[in-house]
Amino acid sequence: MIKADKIIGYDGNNPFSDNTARDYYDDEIIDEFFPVSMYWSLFNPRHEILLGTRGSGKTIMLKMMKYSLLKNISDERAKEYVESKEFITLYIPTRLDFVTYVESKGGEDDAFNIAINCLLAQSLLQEMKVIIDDATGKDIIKNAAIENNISKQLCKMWFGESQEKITDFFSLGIEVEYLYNHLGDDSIKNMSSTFSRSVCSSLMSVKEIICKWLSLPSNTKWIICIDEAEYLTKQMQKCVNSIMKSDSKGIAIKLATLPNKHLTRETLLNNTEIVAGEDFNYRVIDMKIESEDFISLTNKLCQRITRRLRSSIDVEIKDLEDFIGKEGNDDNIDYFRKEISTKSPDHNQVTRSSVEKEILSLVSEKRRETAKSRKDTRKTVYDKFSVIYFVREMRKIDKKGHSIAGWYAGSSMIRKVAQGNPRRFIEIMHMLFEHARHTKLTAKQQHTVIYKYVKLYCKATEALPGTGPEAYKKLTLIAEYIESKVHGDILIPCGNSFLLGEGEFSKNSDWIKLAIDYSRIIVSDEALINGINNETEYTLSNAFAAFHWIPMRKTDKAPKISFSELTGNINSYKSSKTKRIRKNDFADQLTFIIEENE
Amino acid sequence: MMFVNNADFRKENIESSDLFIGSLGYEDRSFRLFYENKTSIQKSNVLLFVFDDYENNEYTKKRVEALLKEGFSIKVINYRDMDSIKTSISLFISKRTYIEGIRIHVDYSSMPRGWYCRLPFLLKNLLRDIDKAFFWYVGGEYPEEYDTAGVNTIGYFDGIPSSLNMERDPIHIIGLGYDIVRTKATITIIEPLNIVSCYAFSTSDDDVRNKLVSVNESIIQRSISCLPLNIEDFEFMLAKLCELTNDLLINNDVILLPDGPKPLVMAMSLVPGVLGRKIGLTCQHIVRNEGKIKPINVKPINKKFGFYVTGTKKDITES
Repeated sequence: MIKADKIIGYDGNNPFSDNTARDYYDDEIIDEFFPVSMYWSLFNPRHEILLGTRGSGKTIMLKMMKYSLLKNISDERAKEYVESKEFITLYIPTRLDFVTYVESKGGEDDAFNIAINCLLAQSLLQEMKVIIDDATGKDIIKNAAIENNISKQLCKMWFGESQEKITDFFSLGIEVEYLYNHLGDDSIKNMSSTFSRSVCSSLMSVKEIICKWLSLPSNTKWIICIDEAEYLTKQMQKCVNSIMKSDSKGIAIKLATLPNKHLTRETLLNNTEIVAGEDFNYRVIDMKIESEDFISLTNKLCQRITRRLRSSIDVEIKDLEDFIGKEGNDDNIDYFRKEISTKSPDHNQVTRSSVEKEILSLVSEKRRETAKSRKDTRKTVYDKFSVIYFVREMRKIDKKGHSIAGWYAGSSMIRKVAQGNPRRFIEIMHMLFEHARHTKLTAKQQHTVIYKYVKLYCKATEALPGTGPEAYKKLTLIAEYIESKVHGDILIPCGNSFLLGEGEFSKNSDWIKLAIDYSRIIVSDEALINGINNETEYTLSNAFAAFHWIPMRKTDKAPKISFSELTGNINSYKSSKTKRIRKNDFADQLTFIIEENE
Repeated sequence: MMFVNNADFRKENIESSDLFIGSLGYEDRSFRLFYENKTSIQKSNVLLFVFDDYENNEYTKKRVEALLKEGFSIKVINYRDMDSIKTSISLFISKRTYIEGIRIHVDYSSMPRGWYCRLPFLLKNLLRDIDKAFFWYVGGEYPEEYDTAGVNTIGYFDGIPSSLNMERDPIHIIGLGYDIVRTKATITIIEPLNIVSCYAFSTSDDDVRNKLVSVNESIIQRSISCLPLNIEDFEFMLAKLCELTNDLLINNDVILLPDGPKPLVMAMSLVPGVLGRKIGLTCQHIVRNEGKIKPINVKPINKKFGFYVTGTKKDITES
């Protein structure tokens, strides 16, 4: 019995119901957060542009850098940063409603500067409150005195004059809110000169005062996390770039955005751009599927089942595998063997060499001859072709009526389909958990759920903003083409990568960039940073590969895609007669039933 | 506070002295109301708009040419040019002063939302308290399957958006329609923390309701609540949306994202104005994909829903 079986009949909340970091209140974030290696590396004094696809974990990492949350992480490094106060982080989400609001006020640089400085000021006030609380041991009187002094000084620096009514951060915050809510009004012209100067001017004008009052070290670095910067217009990005170009004065900007949404390196100064490697660095946030970070993170996320169900079900989940179980060593051959065992009593005869023998019967004559001449066929035959072979065979089983292949199952497969993306992992787990309420999560049941997930995921491509419909159509064309190659008569080395044919790049770059931003297509880190071009090699996401029964592997020679030719090929494939193969057993006794496909 | 009242088209016959404002396009239903009442209205009291790409559609082009020949005034306007709409309508009304109350009939069945959602407040400010502006919507028959209109981006429409107080999480109130792909695209862009969904249907049409619920099942499931509304009772729709918004505003910022049938879009778009533009309350509009949309010729059905507003001026010539 696997641990997931204990969920049967459970009617409480699904522990995987929220999958967006913004969904979490701060105390929930603390509870859920797992600091990956990327997180710790962000504590540095350099300007960085963080590129990450949707759901890659940018928001939660940046939020957790705030002093108010960092201090709750049980880790020596966190303790060190909190005690030394070497870095004080402020978090600013430049959400869509923020951007549309600023644009509605004319979208001038002044309006943007004021608005973003208002966000910054509020974040600063919140963090300072926590720092003071910690420093004074929540001594109310001491707190009040410090707040009072700082507030008055900040008020003078920000708004040009002291005000009797400003006695604490709350009343100061009201003034900042007033400024924000009256953006563009004449009434705020006099009070906004500091805020309108430049991005971060609200902090730059007061950080010495704050350091003095809060007894911060003189070398304290202020990290400004600007999240969801994909919504910023080009002009707004120029305003931020200008700060990166100038003498940072102890301020480091971390700008989180989608890979193709850092629209410009220009600054507000003509002919002046920020230079990667000098003024700033690019960092790719997305995790690799088999990275220790992703494996640890997914295991930690599974542990939340234990925590959240503690009062209802006696179940302790150590990791993903503990929850859903595994076949054998969770290798492809294990799931293949398990599936075949239901069809054939000789399932234990599925071995590496028997698989190799089958592969050799399906490859081209030339390849067969070449293989014969080699001593060790592990690399040239098994490693190269087995995953393709398994996918072909499992698909045959799955396509038969009333048959489900237990192929897309197990922890490795789940992580592959999630593609290193925490949000997608949570979405898959959500569905698996729902399913587990009603039935045992056998390999077949896991397959059913995961296949349903990838189907929805592929279809959801159509719903991506802008060129979503085009992305969906063309990705489907590509996937169907590759599918036709994978499942052709001859077994050939193929996978889920492709190139664009001559002249295709310029016609298709828009939807491809969108597909990259939303992880429908995977490219190298270098391509993410430097941009795609004619030569870029693309990989269909594993979700697309899974839906179309394409092996999730890099192709030796990625096919070049030309869309005009593609449609013809697909039609030809679809209209051809197909053989439906009914396997009686795994060995040589195969019965063929040939049917028309039209 | 704006006075909105339900109107029954069966009772509110269009009379010869009434004014008519409409927008003609590639949908059959854009012509329905006008053709039905063409002979009743004086030509000089008719103001029609057509998009500047109308000639791309042969059917629309022929009809427009025929109407021009008959002597009707048709203004060619760009889809995004709300300023020209405002100017045209303001001039149209100001030139027609009557001793008795003016009655204006606006057919918004085929207008872009950027136009029609602004018209109630525009007309409220232009008209007197004895005048009435009726807003009519002709129900449509959609094909069983059609290409999504898609989403380009989300734009600001009205209100004063999210306060800086980061303790106030925003709640998105999302209107639902048949285009689930577009709704999902919208959600992909905005990534809402909390959703309240709403949908509108005619209470005599269970099929429509069932289809809406079925198509939007995944959205409704993830909503913290779902509000079904009667499309034929505009007054109640608007009142209910205002009530819901007010309740939510106590602890949260509210962002309205109208979609679905036009009366629902209209009602949701009016909420910030009706509630006096409270801080933390915004309405955003979906900006659809231009040039990638396959026009759907929506046929009219025999249902017309409407409401009217009255003005606030004492004299029509006040500016």
